[in-house]
Amino acid sequence: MIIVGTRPEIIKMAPLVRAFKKRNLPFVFVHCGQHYDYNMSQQFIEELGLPRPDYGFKFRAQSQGLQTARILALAESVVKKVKPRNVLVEGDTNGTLACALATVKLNVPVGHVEAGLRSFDLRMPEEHNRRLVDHLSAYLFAPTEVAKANLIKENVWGKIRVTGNTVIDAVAQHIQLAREKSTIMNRIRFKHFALVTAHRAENVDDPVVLENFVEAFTHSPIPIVYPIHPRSLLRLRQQKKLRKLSRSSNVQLLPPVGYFDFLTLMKSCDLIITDSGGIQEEATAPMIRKPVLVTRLSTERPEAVTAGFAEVVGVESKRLLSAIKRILDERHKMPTNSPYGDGKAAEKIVEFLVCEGAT
Amino acid sequence: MRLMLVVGARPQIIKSAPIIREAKNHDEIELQLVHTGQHYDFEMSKIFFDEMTLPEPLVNLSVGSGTHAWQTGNMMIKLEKTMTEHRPDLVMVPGDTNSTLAGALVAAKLHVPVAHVEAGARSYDMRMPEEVNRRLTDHSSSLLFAPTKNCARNLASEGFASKAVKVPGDPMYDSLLQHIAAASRIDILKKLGLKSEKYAALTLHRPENVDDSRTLGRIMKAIISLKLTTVFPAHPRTRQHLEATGLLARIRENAHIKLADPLGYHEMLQLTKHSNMVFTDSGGLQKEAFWLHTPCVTLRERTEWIETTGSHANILVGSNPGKISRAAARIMETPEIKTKLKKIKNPFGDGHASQRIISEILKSR
Repeated sequence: MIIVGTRPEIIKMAPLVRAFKKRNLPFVFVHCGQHYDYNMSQQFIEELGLPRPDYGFKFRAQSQGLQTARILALAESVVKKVKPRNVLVEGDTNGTLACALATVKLNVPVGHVEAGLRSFDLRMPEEHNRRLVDHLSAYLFAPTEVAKANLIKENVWGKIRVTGNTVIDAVAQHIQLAREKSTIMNRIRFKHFALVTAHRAENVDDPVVLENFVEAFTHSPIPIVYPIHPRSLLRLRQQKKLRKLSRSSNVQLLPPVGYFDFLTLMKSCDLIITDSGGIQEEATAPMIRKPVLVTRLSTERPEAVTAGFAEVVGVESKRLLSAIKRILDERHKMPTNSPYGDGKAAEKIVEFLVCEGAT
Repeated sequence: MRLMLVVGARPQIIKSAPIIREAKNHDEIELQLVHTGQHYDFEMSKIFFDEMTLPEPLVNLSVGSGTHAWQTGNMMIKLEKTMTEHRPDLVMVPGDTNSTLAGALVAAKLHVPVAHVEAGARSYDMRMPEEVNRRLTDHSSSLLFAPTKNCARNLASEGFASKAVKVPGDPMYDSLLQHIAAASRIDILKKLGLKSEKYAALTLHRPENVDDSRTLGRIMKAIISLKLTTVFPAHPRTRQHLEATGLLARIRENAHIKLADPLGYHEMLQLTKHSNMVFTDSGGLQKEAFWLHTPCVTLRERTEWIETTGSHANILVGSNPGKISRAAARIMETPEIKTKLKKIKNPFGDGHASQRIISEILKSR
């Protein structure tokens, strides 16, 4: 059984769904999502050419406790009904944890895709979720040796396999679709630009951080393209900084863009400035290969840093600006290989499950 | 400091009692006792609270029984409300039940520090829901109270920082010492028609033993064939299964098996202390038998209380009839066995675990 919830989970599980199909292995595909973006996620699944989920459950929840409780009960009922040989979950959301917990209590083995990531910052709910999911999983699919070492250090009981990250598979599989479907580049004012994303609460909810971002983006030596999340837009407006940003000739704000447009932007930009974890990985895919500045204080993906793709620069405008300048001046030489694998992660996961007799 | 203590199942109340008493000695602690109602509603377990002379809980969630996911989820919804309303500075969760896990998960999500009492116990058998619960609770906690050094080693092997792990001893042992005098005043032996050291005691409640009629039958037949006077205080669920599988009639044909209603804490201590041996699949009773120098035959493949298995004080037999009878024979044939067991060092502390736990909590502020 393959369970997906959020959009990043759908992207990262898509190669696995295809790998199961390719081998004609039976599987049950489950989609669990928040009611407000449930239909959009269903549509997204369709756009990626994935089969319609066999089970979909949508839930409405105001609080984390309520959310986890709803998914626990829904996941339990579907696992009880289907009686799968295993349940594969991805990532580190409350949904991932709830599905994994319901499954392990029914004595069905859980496989965690993207196991062993650690930011060592327990204030992040994701850190708590992924750590717990790792400790209840029978199969841990670590994207890298670093992730595997984290798991060994914590003496998890399940079996660990380093498979690479399925996100690299996903980029290779989806960039073709992006070429066909995306027209975003017709709307971009700049030939060379830095692509910005910011979504983490500790960044967009902090007026000081926002102030620094506005300062850096309006003074950046390379123009900025910034698909902006409605929540960040609201915060900027509340802080009376939106006008300065939107009027700057150096900045192009975009409404939130879809996956295919975003892949296209990543492929066309000169560098990426982000606080997202997944983008740090996607940027290293052979079809993308872009330098990344990480606007956070820590990262659970040190491999991109070590390999020379990414740099953790924090949230101060001075440091951000000097990092942008340095990358442009150096004509940054990008490494050839992604530290997140060769794009065959899904194949390796399926192969492992077949060998274990778990399919 | 507002200290919220989340309990639900009976063993958790036993573990919490000495901590609650110690907390009362410190004016700076405002204790918020929360009862999830995992096994019984508070009203039904009130007798038990009275026996332990515990205060009424601040909040009763009355969640009731259900599937694991349903029960955990419902506890989470109600605990989230409770914690948001009462704003504890620290949430303490004892043991390894769904209440333990739900308390730890909700607190961690609300960024309230979690202290786990009985941290680091491991059976390394993930088919046991308790093993899942205690692992996840440990990994949600910032303060881990390990009952033994071995438990602390388990935590170290999972990468916990040594400053987060304390080894105060086991508050369940504190509880036993605090209640053993009261227990000795209870005449349960007479009530059940037993003579000291002329009987065995049996408890069974784990789903893998009780829910599968073949396993339950195998265990019961093995125990019946021992021809030992055996008291069997049966959990209502266990009794239901015995009835459904026809084993109840079989037990009634054998006068040496004495079926009894579930017993209180004091009664159970007294019964254990004076028995030749106990057969059990419970985690807590393995420890209590160990502390009372009564040999234990554990009807499980693995135990999280590996500390009790030295010198054959606790023999693991699973549900294998041959192993059950060999273990019983070995115990009966060892002369002066209780005197021998008295000499084994107790790794669960000195009976002052609760004082250390409370003092660490005050230091953690």
